[in-house]
Formats: sequence, C-alpha cells, structure tokens
Amino acid sequence: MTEEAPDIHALAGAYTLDALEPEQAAAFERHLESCDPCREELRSFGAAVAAMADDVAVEPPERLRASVLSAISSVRPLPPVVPVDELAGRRTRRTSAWLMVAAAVLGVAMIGAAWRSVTLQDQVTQLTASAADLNAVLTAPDAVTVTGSADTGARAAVVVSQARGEAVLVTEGLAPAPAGQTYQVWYITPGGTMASAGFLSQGEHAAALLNGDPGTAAAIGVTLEPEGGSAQPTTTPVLALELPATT
Amino acid sequence: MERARLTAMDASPASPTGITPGGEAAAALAALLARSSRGDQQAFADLYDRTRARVYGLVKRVLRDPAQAEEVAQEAYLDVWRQSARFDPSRGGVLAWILTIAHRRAVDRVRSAESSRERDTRFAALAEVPEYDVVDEAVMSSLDTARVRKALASLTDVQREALTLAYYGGYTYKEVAELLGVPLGAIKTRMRDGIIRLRDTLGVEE
Repeated sequence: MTEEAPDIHALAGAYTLDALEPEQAAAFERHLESCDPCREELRSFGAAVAAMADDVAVEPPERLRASVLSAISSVRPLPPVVPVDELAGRRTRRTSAWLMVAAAVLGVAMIGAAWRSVTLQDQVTQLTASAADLNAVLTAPDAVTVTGSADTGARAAVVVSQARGEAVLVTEGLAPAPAGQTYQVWYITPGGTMASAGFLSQGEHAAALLNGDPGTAAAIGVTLEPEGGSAQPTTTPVLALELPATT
Repeated sequence: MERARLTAMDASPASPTGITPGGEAAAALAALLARSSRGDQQAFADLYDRTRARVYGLVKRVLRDPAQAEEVAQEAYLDVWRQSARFDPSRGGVLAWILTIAHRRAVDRVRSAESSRERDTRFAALAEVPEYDVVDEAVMSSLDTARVRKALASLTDVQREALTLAYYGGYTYKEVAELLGVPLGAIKTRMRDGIIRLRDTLGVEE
C-alpha cells in the first residue's frame, strides 16, 4: 500500500475508530513511533471518541458485575513493564506490530511434524539445566508435545504438563545467538499478552524448563534480545509454536 | 476487606460535568486503576461501577446481541484488570483506554464471526433509533448525552455518518466508504476532520 505513505497522518481518525485493517493499523503504529504530532493527535482523539460512548450508555445486567469480579479474583494482574533503558517506551509501542509477525509465523509453523519424543529424551542428556526437572515434565502422565520448525531449518518442541504447571522447550539447529544477545522465550496468551518465560541455553541442541505456568498460554515465541533480556519482545520471533488447547 | 471498602468510598465521586471525566473524576479513575494493578479487587469493583454503563453500552451497540455483549464486556474488563499495570497515562486517560480495549474486542468479535447477511441486518439496525435504557442515577450524573448529541449534530452529514458507522457499527473505513459512496481517500479525511470537530466542540483534551 505504498500509495498511502504520503497521507499516513490522515489515518489517525480511522485508527482511533478501530476502522483500519490489521496490516494498516500495524503500519500506522510503526509510523507513530516517529511522529510526535500523530501521537499527540491520537491522545486527544481518544477522548473525543470515548465521549461517543456516553450517548449509548446502557446499564448492564446485574450479574455482569458478579461474573467480572469472580473472573478477576482468579487472575493476577500482569507486572508493569519495567523500563530497561530509554528505549523502553519505543519497545512497548512496537509490541502490537510484533504480534502481527508472530501471528504470521504461527500460521506457517509446521505443527505436529514428525519428531518423536524419543529424540527429546536423548537430548535431555545434553542439557545444562537440571535433567531431573526436565524429565519430570517430559515423563509426566499428561505431557503433551507440540513440534514445529522455522524456515531457517531450526526445529523446536514444547512439552507441556498442565498437571505440573510446567513446560519444557527443546530446540535443535538454532544458530548461536550473536555476541551480546540471547534467546528469550515468551508465553503468548490468547489475548496477545506476552510474558517472559526465561532464556534458552546455547548450543546445537538446547532445552529449557520454562519459567512460570504455561496455564492458558496459546503459544510460545522465541526472540533474540540484548543480553540480560527484555521486558517485552523487541525483535521478530525466530520461532513460534502454538500450544495445545487446555482442556 | 472492610478497610478496603472504606478506602474505596473515600474516592471522589464521579464529576457531574464531564463527558470524559476531567479533573477529579479522571484522577479518581486513575487512582482506582493504580490500586487495581496492585491486586486490589475492591478498587476494581469501584472502577467497574464507574465505567460499566459506557463499556457495556458501547459493546452492545456494536454487537447488538445482549448475550454476546455481556461476554465481550466481561473479557474486556478481565483485560483491563490484567493490563492495569501497563496503562500508559502519556497516551490518554483511563476511561478512553478502557473504552479502546472494549471497542477493539467488540469490533474483533463482530468482524470475525459474522456473515454478510448479518452485516446487512446490522446496517439496517443502525438506522433505527437506539433504545435508551434506564441508567443508574450515579452513572447518569457523569454522562452528558445531550452535549455529545449536540456535538455530533454539528458535524457534516458525511462526517457524522462516517464516525457512527465506524464506532457504533464496527465497520472498517473501506466498508464505510462503500456504504456512503465516498472515495477511500476522502473517507479517511472525513473521519479525521469529524473527530477534530467533535473534540473541539466538546472541548476535551485528554
């Protein structure tokens, strides 16, 4: 849509109204990073459009209050995004564009490619992390394995045990991370929220017991991040895998 | 629990003047959201009460179906709760943020789920005069529907229709252009100009 480039500023209105198609919305969000006037405009537009909600306000059924409050009582609010440097703000804004990419990668990931769990067991012996912990997940009675490959040729498998609330990510053929960078793993919720799930060790074969409960995560993604990791992904994922639906 | 409730009651009441609550009311929403981000469910209940009619009303306007509206409103509030620590005040007020989350969810639902026949029905329904259910008095006092309606009436016909089709109807700008018989490039401009006029008439800044 190169013909739109000159008047991309004009998209602030349609963007505020959620009237852009996903690709355009992503393009506009990228534009926002470098356009102060558009950001300023969007701020005031949000309030103006929000006023339109006053005109359609309707009292919801009483039971909605109870179900909302019951729903939140079992969910912990996400931690704040902690700025790691002055670029943190930019990173946060980039998140939705990143999601679009993640979705695209998810679409092409070959889910269920033949890669037997026997291979996974073999690889466990090469791990730097505690083999016992990993084995506990890999051999859990309810363990479910999902495998996929990236177009770089790298392959990955995730083993999830909902009963244990743990997941293991095994990769094969992932290029070594460039100097000063590290592979960071992310849980992606159905709502598109990303939470760090730890780091991958280096090597032709690598495995990691992921941090945190896979819970209702819909997918995991792997990105290259500056050493020490990021609060939110800052690069395009090198690998993304859809997780089995929880039952 | 009792203590938390008392604290919540100390929060300033919703401002009777603002459409988009300015000053005290906006600050109260921000304070409630901040407490929610630390896990304070009572603060979130209060936040819900101050925003529920707008959120549910907007979602219901887009989706039409009350059952779906309830579902989507609940998802939106759960999202607000989860994202509460990530609200960025430099990008706008709390109410606008909550409504953005709710509106996106409603629009996503309507775009992914519906057949073209349902769309036609929805368009026909848009032309009807909306029902105005009885809204809780406390909530009502913070609404200023007459002022919004007057502001909307000050727009040109195309501007107003473009805004209402997109915001209340959940149509993309391409669909709006098609429905109104206006060229694509022009519809983007109409939407932007319409919001600018709405903003300036209402005198909202944040």
